[in-house]
Amino acid sequence: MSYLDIQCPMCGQQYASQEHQGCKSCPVNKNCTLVCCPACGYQTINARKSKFARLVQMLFPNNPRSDHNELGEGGTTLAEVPAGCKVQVLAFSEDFPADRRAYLQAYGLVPDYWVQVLQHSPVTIVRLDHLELALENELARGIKVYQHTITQESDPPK
Amino acid sequence: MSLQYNPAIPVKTEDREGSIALVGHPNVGKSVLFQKLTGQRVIVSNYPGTTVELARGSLRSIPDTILVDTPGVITFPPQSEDEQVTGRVLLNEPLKAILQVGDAKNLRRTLTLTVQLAEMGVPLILALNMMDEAQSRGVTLKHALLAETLSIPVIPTTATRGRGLQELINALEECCPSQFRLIYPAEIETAVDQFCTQFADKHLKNTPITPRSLALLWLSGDPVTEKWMREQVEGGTFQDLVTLRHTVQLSFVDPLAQVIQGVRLDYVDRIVSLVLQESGLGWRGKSTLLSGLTTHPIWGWVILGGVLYALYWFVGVFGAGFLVGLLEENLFGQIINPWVEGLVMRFVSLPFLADLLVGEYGLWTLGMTYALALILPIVTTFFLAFGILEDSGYLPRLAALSNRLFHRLGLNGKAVLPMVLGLGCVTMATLTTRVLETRRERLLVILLLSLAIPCSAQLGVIMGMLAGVSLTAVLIWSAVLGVVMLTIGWLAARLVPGERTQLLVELPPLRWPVLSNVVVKTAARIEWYLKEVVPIFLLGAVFLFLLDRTGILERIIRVGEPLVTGWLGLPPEASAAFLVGFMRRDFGATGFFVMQSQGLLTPTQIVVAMVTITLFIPCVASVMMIAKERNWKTAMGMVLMVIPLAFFVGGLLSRLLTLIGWG
Repeated sequence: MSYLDIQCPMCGQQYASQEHQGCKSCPVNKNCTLVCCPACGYQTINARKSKFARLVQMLFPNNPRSDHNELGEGGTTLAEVPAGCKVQVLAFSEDFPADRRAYLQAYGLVPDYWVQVLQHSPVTIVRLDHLELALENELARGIKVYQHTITQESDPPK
Repeated sequence: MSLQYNPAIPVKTEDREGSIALVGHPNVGKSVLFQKLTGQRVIVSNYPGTTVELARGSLRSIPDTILVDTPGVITFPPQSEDEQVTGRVLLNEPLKAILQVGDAKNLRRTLTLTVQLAEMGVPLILALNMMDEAQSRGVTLKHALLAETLSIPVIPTTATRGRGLQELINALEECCPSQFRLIYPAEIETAVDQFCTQFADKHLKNTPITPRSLALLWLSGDPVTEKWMREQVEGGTFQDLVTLRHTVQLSFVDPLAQVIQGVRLDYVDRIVSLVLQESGLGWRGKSTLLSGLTTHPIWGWVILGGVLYALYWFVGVFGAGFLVGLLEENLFGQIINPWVEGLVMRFVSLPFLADLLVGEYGLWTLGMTYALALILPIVTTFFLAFGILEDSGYLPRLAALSNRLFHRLGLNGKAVLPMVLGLGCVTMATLTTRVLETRRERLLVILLLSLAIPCSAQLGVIMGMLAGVSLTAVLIWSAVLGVVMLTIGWLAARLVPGERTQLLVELPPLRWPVLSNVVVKTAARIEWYLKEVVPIFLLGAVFLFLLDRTGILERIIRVGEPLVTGWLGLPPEASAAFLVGFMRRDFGATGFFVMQSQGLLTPTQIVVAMVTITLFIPCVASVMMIAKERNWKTAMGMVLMVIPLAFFVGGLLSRLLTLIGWG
């Protein structure tokens, strides 16, 4: 499943930035800030690729950080979960520091538990139960999550 | 995995030997409860790591019973030095009971520690604290069912408001040893049995906890237990235990500590599903929004700027400017000092003694006036502001916000806690470095504290002096200190061996500070501070007086001239300020303050003097604390590194400012 991060202003279709066939094959796609809707072809700006837009966007605390908002096909770590989303923890990476893992375990952040990601910059902040934990992004990258459980709902599915 | 439980007969607490240990996660209200139960005041704040040492007090309600307040522990095995203090209490202290303080709204986390403590076999009482916060978030607990399931007394409390304390005292008066026991995977159970058989009736009489619990700590790789066992058993037996642990580990992919904790968590999850009800009110309100803003990558720095400006205004302008002016010039300068001088002149006929009391370097005119008229208003305003910051829960958020900066210094954001505390008192901050997890991090932070963090008294004097010159002077001073701190920190991080640990910190809820707590805490700190400052200032005054009388001061000034006048470009009298700076940096800074008020310093000289005295060695008490926390070699190494560096940087700055024609 890919994360649908753009809504077409013309037809309302929600799509991933790479979804349009033309964009996928375009040689200048890497640095291009334009995207096309796969349904109607309408071309719009992808604010997430603009550094200035990202800087401006950071002024609004409830908006998720753009560079963490785009879940690629292999994006299954806590660091890639968009801010504001809840997610179920899958596992820790093999090279995850043992002492940090023991701490997280003591706080209750263990596989199969639900956490809500609040922000990613300057550090990742997660909420579990009635507790907020700040952890370095490198640690967040070592926590694998079930990608299909990423949800914007206030309560995780039972 | 199942639970075994055999009820035991309750025994009156006062009939048993030993003390009661107050144990729990950081920042759950242990120290507040300690105060309520003993009547003794300890420093209480809204950030983890306030208690880094043990506090002991007699329980008011149970005769001959000592309550021991321990540093917060997240889990066993403990990771940081302060957590290990708690581990040592549980292993070494004769305990009649453990009183666990837990956060009611975070039941899952609380019970994970409860299970570990219950397994120790010591009578255990669980105080589910902060019930008011739990209720406001829609958390309801079936505490009677929880008590029945765990077979320990469970008392809901709100310690700050005194709720549930009588029930807690009743439970403490009569409680029985915990018989709680979880069953672990067969390989672990076999190893635990082997451990217990080997040590039954032999070596484990000196600890209050059960051999089974000790075995589990051993298998989990607890460093405190490992050290304790090394002292208790012979080399060969110790090696057998190491082999036993390695053998069991071969049966599991995950580390043993994790496997053991996994069993506990499974059990806790089952209990939580039985006893916890949530209405779904959850996290709402302005405090949640503000909490997000304080750690926001842009607004967080804006808020920090506002906090620093408020701190500067309150301490620098109001404290060091207005209050010091009021006390030094008006109260002491016009009323108290002339009256004391008159009194001395009338009753003391010996000129030597009169000079010692009210002369240029007199006990009253220098020692007491510096301590009471200059330092007291500054530390009072700083500690008030700091108390508000502590109780609001802002400091852990600052750790998250500043993590990237400390990353460059080979540290993580948690280092900001002792650094900010160092702005109050470097000695206290050195002790607080225990909250950091590795020896390397503690060493790096102590170095930066000794080098570039001025204490509140010094900061106030410096701010007062530099503000009198210009804003540019303040900026130059800040920039030079910043560059020195970053350069030395960056270099030290590369030279000191070891890995940096990644940030993992709990963010407590933002709360309105309780006025009474802030005021009482400030009073306690002022008392502590004055007890340390006044004797040193008086000693410094006598020291200077004697040097002056014997003519040594003049010789020192002459000898120091090439350095002080030649290299730093300061007047020869500055040598005296540096000399007392060896006792306390703020004493030295105050010497410059007086020189400035006498018109002896130019703006360039003021900036150079302030940079040099800030980078100068911290006070005698701090050096002794560094020696206590680390060792004398480290303390002396830092002193020998910091003094030449301070003069080197001061001299360079003097030349640079002269070159560009500033001031």
